[in-house]
Amino acid sequence: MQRFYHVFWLFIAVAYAPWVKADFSEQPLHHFFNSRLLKANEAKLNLNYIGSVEYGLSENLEVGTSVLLSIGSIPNFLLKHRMFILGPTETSFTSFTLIFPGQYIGGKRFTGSASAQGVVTSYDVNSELSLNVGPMHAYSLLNTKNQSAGFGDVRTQVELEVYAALVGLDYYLSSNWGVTAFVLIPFYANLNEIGDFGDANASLFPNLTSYEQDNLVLFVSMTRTWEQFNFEFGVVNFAKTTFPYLAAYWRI
Amino acid sequence: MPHFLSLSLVCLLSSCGASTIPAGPIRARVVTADAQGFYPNKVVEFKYLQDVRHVDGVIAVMRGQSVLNLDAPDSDQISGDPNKIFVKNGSQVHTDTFVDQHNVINAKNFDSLAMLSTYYAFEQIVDFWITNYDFTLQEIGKFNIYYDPQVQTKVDSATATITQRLNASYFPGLGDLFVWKTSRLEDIPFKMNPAVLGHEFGHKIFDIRFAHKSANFVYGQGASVNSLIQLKGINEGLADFMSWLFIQNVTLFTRSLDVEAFQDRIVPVAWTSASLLKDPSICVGSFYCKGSVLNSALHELSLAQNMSPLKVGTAMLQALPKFASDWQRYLSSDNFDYFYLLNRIANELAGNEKTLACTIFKKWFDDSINQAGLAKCL
Ligand SMILES: [Zn+2]
Repeated sequence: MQRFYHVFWLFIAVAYAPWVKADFSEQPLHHFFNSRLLKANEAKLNLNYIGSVEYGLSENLEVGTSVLLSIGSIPNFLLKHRMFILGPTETSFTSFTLIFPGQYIGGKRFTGSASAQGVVTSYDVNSELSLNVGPMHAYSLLNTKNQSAGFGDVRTQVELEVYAALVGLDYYLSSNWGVTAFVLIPFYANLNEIGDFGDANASLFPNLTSYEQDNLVLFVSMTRTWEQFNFEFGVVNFAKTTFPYLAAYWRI
Repeated sequence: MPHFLSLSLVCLLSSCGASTIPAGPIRARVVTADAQGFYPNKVVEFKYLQDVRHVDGVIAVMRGQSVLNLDAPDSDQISGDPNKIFVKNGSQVHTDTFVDQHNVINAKNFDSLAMLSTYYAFEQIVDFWITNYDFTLQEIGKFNIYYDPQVQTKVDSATATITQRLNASYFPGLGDLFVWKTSRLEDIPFKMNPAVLGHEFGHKIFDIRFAHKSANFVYGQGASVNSLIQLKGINEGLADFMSWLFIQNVTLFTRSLDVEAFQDRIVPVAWTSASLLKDPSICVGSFYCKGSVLNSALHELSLAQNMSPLKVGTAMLQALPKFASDWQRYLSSDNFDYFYLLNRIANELAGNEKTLACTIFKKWFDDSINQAGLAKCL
């Protein structure tokens, strides 16, 4: 069914997109893992898995939210802030936060939050290539409460923290074809669980020699732009599994 | 000079001296459930505790920060060698206390209170076995009480350290006791419930008199799967019975955790060995359920006219080394069952007492294997 929607959006896109000469120099590739911001008053409507809306409040600040997750009553907030520009480099703070006010998932009630943030520097090697590097951090704290026979309410709190290094690039093949690729290399992860039956703590990357390919997140995509309309397709590889990635968005 | 000033300020606040433990017997405020099921905070006098700060004394020493190696092979687990069993064998604990105007030691926090309460409970238990059943400190030996221990296991490149809650345990071979971290689900914390600690110490008594402290013996090299299940049930049933001998209350352990598996261990139980065999779902505690039949039988015998808990307890203890020789002889058999122990206990009694024991044992163990095994009891 999901695949149907992607084909559907592609159809809509091709049918209705105004075929104007695209210009990546006006609207460079914009995503969570580079430092680029929307212009002031520019909006981005993203029709991918989570259906997000992003808006440039000013030249240096943009905010956003995923509408579909909000409809599913998981409030969420996206923020990107340009910190500084130094010569050919631009550095921004980028973050996404999800709040679980009391979700029922699989019969268990969850409260808590999850967030990912980073400070990303984009370096323009030349007009075709920019490199994106920086530290990334993800943190989640979830409380669950469920009924257990004989014990009544059983509570668990799970805290997960991951630090990773981002290394990526945006490459412009032409004025309307762009490539985005990055790898997230986790170098510290800690899982902490406090429960009524016991507590557990696990250091997931205890030493530098334990890096394995299945700990990395790899991402590659291509974006075709028709000025305001963009279509992106690619793959994500994580934990030995490859997932397709498809997105379509308007920038207006 | 400013350093001196800050030092004197600290002195003003804490009176510049270690809180001195008064001379004479150690008196402290502890929490302990009594036989009536009340849960009072009371001042007690310690008999064996010598070092309040480190919870160390004649019968036992408390150890904290220990980490068991969950990945140790079975041969290491039963070796009795702490170096093979632990990742970290723990370290000295430290209690924080103050002495009040009545020269009574008071704990300043939960862990200090729990450590003193646990130690006091074990003092009472050890003393019970020495006073009534002629155990000696030498035979019991000084043991470790591991406070809030952790277990460690490796999964791929990750190392997980787990703090179990909701339990107390005895570690055969090592001969030590473990009081695990208190859970929100516990009412009276396990480590403050003498019925629970009495049960765990019952495993130690079993270990001393049956296995002669050899874990290899309890785990039974060459034993059939059935024999091991029967022995586990016997071990649990006797531990419950020994806890009752000490505390004389059949429901006190449920004050810590009132769950079905615990309710099923209140004696006398509603099933016999035959009805349990026919419908195992009448009780949720697997091998504990048959152990509770044994506890029910010994409990009934103890309360019978002209009998006493002391008489039955003594017969049980005298029977244990003899039962151990049965175990060594028949452990590979597929028909190993409770009747070996029951016959040994009955044989420690004479005349009417033996007749009564056999009658009660036959009533509770009414399955065909035990009936055949108990045929010569009378
Ligand atoms: Zn037990």
